[in-house]
Amino acid sequence: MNATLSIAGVYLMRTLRSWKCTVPIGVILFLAFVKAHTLANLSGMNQWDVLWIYWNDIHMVTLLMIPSFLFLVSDLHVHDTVTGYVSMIYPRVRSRERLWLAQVLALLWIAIGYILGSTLVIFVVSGFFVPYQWTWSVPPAASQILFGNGLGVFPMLHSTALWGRSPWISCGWVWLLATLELWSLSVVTVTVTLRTRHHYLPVLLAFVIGAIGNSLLSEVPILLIPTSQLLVSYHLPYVIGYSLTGGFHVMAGQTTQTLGWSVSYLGFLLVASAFIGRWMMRRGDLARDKSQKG
Amino acid sequence: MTNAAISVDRALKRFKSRVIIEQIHLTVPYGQFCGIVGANGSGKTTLLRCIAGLMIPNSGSISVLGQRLFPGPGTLPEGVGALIESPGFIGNLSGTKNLEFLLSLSSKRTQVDIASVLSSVGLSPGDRTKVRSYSLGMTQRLGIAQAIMEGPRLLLLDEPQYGLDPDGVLQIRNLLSQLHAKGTTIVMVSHQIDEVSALCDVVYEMRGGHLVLGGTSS
Repeated sequence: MNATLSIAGVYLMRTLRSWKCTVPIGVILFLAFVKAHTLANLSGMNQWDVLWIYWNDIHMVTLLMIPSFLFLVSDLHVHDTVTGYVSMIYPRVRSRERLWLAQVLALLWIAIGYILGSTLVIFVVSGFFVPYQWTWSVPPAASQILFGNGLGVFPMLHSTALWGRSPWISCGWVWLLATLELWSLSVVTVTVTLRTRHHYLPVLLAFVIGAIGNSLLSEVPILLIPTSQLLVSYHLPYVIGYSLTGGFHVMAGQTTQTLGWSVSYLGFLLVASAFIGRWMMRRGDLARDKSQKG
Repeated sequence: MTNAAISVDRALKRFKSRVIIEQIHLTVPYGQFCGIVGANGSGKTTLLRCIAGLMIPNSGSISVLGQRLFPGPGTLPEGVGALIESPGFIGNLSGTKNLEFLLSLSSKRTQVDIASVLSSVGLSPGDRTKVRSYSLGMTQRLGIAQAIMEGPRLLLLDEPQYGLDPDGVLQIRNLLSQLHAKGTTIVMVSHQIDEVSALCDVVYEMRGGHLVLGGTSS
């Protein structure tokens, strides 16, 4: 287990030291600025509201943040096989299962770091525009309409009635879901890169195909940002969940159902992709030959 | 179970329909310095990757240090050091830091004097230069250092002289000779026939994906 933890640590370290890591941070910074600046014009808003709205905005998370995160993850994986880094790791890790487990573990750490880092950034940036406040408040109706995006995000803002008055509980659920989401999607992404023999192009094609499939399934208008498309489809349960809760008054049963469905879905996605990834790791090459075609 | 350090039997590897290596039979006894030469694209590196467990042959079997790799999960035994093509280190760390990182991955916790390993390949232990600023030759030396630092029983080297200046070639040649004298089994792949002939006990040649015995230096 020590070796597994060590390699997971190395992956984490490598990610943090990658210049591409600054891109997602830039995205977080920009979005936090935009959200906080807009909310500053409304009365009664604080950091928790910014945080809550930030993570609940499906478009924001799927189109900007998650793709940037997944690009980082898949790039690291592709890069390792092309540069020969994995050829130095493997004689030391010695087992494909251990290598895979370490990578899955590293992805969890990276996801947690990403969420915590984002939260910190949101708090700091929003501090310039809205007052620091450690109590939770339900945003005014004006802001709910402002941030409603047609998919029923805004009813969730009333969820204090369901989750309790503590912002830690409300935002805790959001953090948990977002972490689970980043973790499961990153494991899926790395699994796809394994299947596509560590080439970028098939991964991008998978995103596009996923987008079209998602659009057909969820009747969400086609969004032509290639890297985000596959990810939108993974949010389908969220979309359904939000739509179910439609209206300004959340029914407890419906929201619980939404949460349960989302957790189940993401959990299933994670376990399934982890097992598929392990299976592919056992069957696939860990190095890429220059003459190989994707 | 076999008495050879490496045993390859009827190995075949293809990418889609293109056959890279086929009908490979190779037995490397413990302590032997084995050289494999061949033109670019002849399949030398692919064979070495299969032996290192990185690539899975489509058919045939491979055993390393008495342990069956393929068919099987490809789990390597302890005691294998490898330099396969150009090593990809973490660019914004120093050579020492990179070696420390790699060392932390080993399940077998050994005390390694990184400074003396770096010196043995001609790198300065106190050098804090980031690897991304290294020259090709320095990166290659560091690659050799990471392959030998844990005192492997089997050393797999792919073009270890690549990018080295004449002094460096000589230094690495002496280093490999010393390791060989200590009983390390070494497989070295290169297209430099002179270099391989000068060092190896036995030399094979890869020709169009086939392995042909080229002779013994003795």
